[in-house]
Amino acid sequence: MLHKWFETPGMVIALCGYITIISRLNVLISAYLICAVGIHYAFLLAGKRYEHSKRDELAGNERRSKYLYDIMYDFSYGKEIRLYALSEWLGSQFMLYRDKIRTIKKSIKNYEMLVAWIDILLSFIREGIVYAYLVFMVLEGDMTIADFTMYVATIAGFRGAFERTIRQLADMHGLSMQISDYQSFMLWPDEMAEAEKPVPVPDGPYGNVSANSYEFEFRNVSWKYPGSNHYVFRNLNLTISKGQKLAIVGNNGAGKSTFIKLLLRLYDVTEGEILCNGINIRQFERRQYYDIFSAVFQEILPLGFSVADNIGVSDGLQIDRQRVNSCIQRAGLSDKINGLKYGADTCVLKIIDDEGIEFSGGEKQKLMIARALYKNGAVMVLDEPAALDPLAEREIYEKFNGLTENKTTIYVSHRLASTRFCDAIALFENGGLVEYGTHEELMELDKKMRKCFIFRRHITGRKVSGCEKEDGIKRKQEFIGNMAFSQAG
Amino acid sequence: MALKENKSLSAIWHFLKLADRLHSGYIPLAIMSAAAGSITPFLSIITTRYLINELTGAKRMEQLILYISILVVGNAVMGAVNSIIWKKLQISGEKLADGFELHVGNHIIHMDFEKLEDAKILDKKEKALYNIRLHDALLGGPKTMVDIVQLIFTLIGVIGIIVILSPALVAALLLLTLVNAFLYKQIQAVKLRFYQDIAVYNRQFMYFQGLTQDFKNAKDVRIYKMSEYILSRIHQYYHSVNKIFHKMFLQQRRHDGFLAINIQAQTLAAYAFAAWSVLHGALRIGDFAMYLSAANQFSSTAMQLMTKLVDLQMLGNVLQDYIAFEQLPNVGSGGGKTSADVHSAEIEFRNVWFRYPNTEAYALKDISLTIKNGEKLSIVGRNGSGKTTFIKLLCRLYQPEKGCILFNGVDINEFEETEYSKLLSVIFQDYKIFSFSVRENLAYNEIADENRIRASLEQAGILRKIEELPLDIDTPLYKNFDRNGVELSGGEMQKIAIARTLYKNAPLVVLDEPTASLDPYSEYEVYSRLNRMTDRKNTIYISHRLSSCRFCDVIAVFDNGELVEYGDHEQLVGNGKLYAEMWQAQARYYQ
Repeated sequence: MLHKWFETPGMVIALCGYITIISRLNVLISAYLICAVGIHYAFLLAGKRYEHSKRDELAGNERRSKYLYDIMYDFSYGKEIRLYALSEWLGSQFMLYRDKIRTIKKSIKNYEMLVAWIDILLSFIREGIVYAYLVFMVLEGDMTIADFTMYVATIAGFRGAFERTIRQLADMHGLSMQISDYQSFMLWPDEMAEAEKPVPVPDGPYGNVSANSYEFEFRNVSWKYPGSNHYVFRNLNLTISKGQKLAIVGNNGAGKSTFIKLLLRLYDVTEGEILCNGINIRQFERRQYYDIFSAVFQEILPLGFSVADNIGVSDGLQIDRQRVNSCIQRAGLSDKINGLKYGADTCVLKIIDDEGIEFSGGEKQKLMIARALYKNGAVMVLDEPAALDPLAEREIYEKFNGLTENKTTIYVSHRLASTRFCDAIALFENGGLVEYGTHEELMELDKKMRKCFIFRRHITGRKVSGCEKEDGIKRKQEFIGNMAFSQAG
Repeated sequence: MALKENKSLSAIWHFLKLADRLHSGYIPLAIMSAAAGSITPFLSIITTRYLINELTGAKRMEQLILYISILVVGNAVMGAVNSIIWKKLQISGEKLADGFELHVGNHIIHMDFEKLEDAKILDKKEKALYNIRLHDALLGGPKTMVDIVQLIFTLIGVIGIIVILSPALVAALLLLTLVNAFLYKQIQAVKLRFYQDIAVYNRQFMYFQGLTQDFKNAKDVRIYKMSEYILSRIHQYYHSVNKIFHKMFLQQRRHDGFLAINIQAQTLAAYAFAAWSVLHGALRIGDFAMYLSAANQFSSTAMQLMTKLVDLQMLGNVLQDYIAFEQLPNVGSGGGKTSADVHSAEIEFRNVWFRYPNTEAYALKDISLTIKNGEKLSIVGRNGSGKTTFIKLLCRLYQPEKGCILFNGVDINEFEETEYSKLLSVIFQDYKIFSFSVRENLAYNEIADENRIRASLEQAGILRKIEELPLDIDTPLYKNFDRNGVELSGGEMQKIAIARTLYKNAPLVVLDEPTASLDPYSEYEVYSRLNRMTDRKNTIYISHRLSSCRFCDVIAVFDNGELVEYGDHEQLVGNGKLYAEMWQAQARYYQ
């Protein structure tokens, strides 16, 4: 794209050359030519402005038709389309928006045609004058046939050079708009400023850290999305002591994932502070702080490279193959990996390599666990795995528990399955910590709830909904009860 | 090679026929545009000759005025005609492109469902569409055809002029054309190889680009310090791609250079011959000027024509991928039976065997199962045990290999396809909510019964939330269709999906674990609510949380494609087999 910048001067020089030759013939003619260039360009710009004025209308319709297009073309909508018999409706909706787009484009094209006609008119006058003048000169004997052919060629060449230059200028105009978009993206400020003088993370980066040397404290932490009025957290206070196993449980939207993002400093707190071994985490250099953690996130996104690279990615290109192998083994993936043609060198996904492998959900989860083990962060985080059957789920939790040894570990879940081997459970609801304690303490907290829990353990299905209707059970108690219930029955 | 060329030509022919069928106005317009475009240069070439000959000869005023008028007015008229045709062609091209997108969209929508889950078909689709988009084959194809026709017209005209001036030259021209054709073959082979080799790199480029620009990866990139690794991989990629491009371009340029020399030599020969002719009095000055213009035009036209022919063949190759995709046969199924008088539902699976296409192992083995009218069935089992497959067969998305499925004693294949879909209300694990309004998501294109919509939303426990939205039930969901849309949480979307199922009010309701992203409390709430609402309806529940399904009349346990246990909760716990084990796995933490 950049080469356009360098072409333009050349074109302008060529155009000037043509005009100079024509000036030798007659200054008035060249004055007319310059005027014609100006007039044509003015109309062209007006055309572009008109096109620009239609941009939003066009973009809106294009977004809509693009969405409908995606639905038709994306196989994953196949079931809905068939079971709700939507095919004709989707097609007609798609054409509806495409028709609107075409109508707008037609009006733009009409404008363009108008500009083209103005150009034709200007050329008509130009050619008429020039040819008449040239013939007149030859007839008067003021011009040789040699000059005559040169001028005819010049006029023809002028027309081409003129069109190219005008188009180039219009393109440059568009280009400069794109560049300003790019600039505004690149100059977007990084709002999470680094500390002016970063404090080293205590005990240095991972690897030589004794496993349980980090303690975290949330002190009056409040957080909301920038620009939003709704606080996800208000005055949250919570301590995660060294070597603790903490389960974060709560409903959808209770702020569990946000809590993790704040802890990992993927977001900065709006108010309050988070301390790591007594130091505000904003004082650390971010990259160094990230080294503390090994996390398995909810969305599993393996890279399209080899299995080994996926696991050892935190070491960049210097991957310790032995460690990779031991992590594969510890994560319980050995059988699968050994069964592959290229072992740990097999590509994940088929994007880069046609011989790549597509793992199942549980296998991907294990791959992510192996990656977390390889990084060997001092603090382990397991964000709730996606839908797994009870036996697979148990395997993942127990595996992870066995692998984290005595490290500080945080489980995020809306199931209680994980809480058994946790020292503490933090129950989040609607922007706050509503309960904190061990499983037993939480259960003791409310006898009635406990009773409900036992009651449900022993009663068969049909009657249980009655329990839900008991008066006086607050929502939060109900939550724990139902959580336990729906987990255990 | 010859065979391949034929294939590629027939692909183009197929595509042109398709273009004509989708929008019949396009091709005539394109031919008109080609004709008008090729006439224009001759106006100058020919009139200039007469003008010069007149100037060097008789110098008759009225003749001169006539020639100038023809030239100037002719240019203006041709310009106007060209601009009108061009505008019409553009609009018509848009229409064709839209028609084509709809055509392919319809093809995908009406494909047999089993193809949609076949990775090979997905690959075929991506390949077909990717190539079409990359090379802009849709409009590029007809455009290239038009250009070629136009160039051929021009070439014929130019040759015509040269023949008039000097018949002897025709033989020389033919010889030159043969040389050009030989060179063209060489270049074509190099270019085609280039286009083929580049496809892999383009695909990889897209992946790398996505990797660095996708915000989804942000967390992993930061915590696992991936940036260093990813950037070095991209660096590696660029390095290797640069090497390949270097080699390719070198090869291509060598041929291009050779061709350019050839063209220059032709021009030189033409000039020499013309000058010699003038000196010997065989050509007048006007003829000389015209002849030179014609010779120049010949070189540039021949060169362009070669490039375009390579493009066309490349397009032909690209279109073959598309045609392979378009011609995937549709088996289709379904008789003519309507669903009009079906109000109850009794479903029977009779010795059903099924395997997915291209697999060896059976996903379902000899399943026999009856769901009586009004019965609530729960299906449990491990991941991959065949639960969802069972539902897909029931929905007629796949056909059993052996055995049959009966709906009130009638084979489900006897129903007309859309009629059968009216009998089922299904929420799948990976259910989709569209970015339309809440109302449209429930009723789609049917005339919406607003009271029932509200009732369904109420029953799904989401009505209050929806009524708080700015446009009530007409509020669009998500922001990718309408910028004023709202983003609801995963749990809320799920409730809308449930409301959609209720609104449909079909005799059979199926819930294939749509509540996976709900917390246990909400799931329990949803299931027990549904249980009350679907009171007299057949309902099939799938959930990994066994307790959610305890209110069901019967529980069917699937393992490895087989129905291994069947009975109510107490019975199955008493059996001490798989169900009991799974029950224990979930319950053990609370004992």
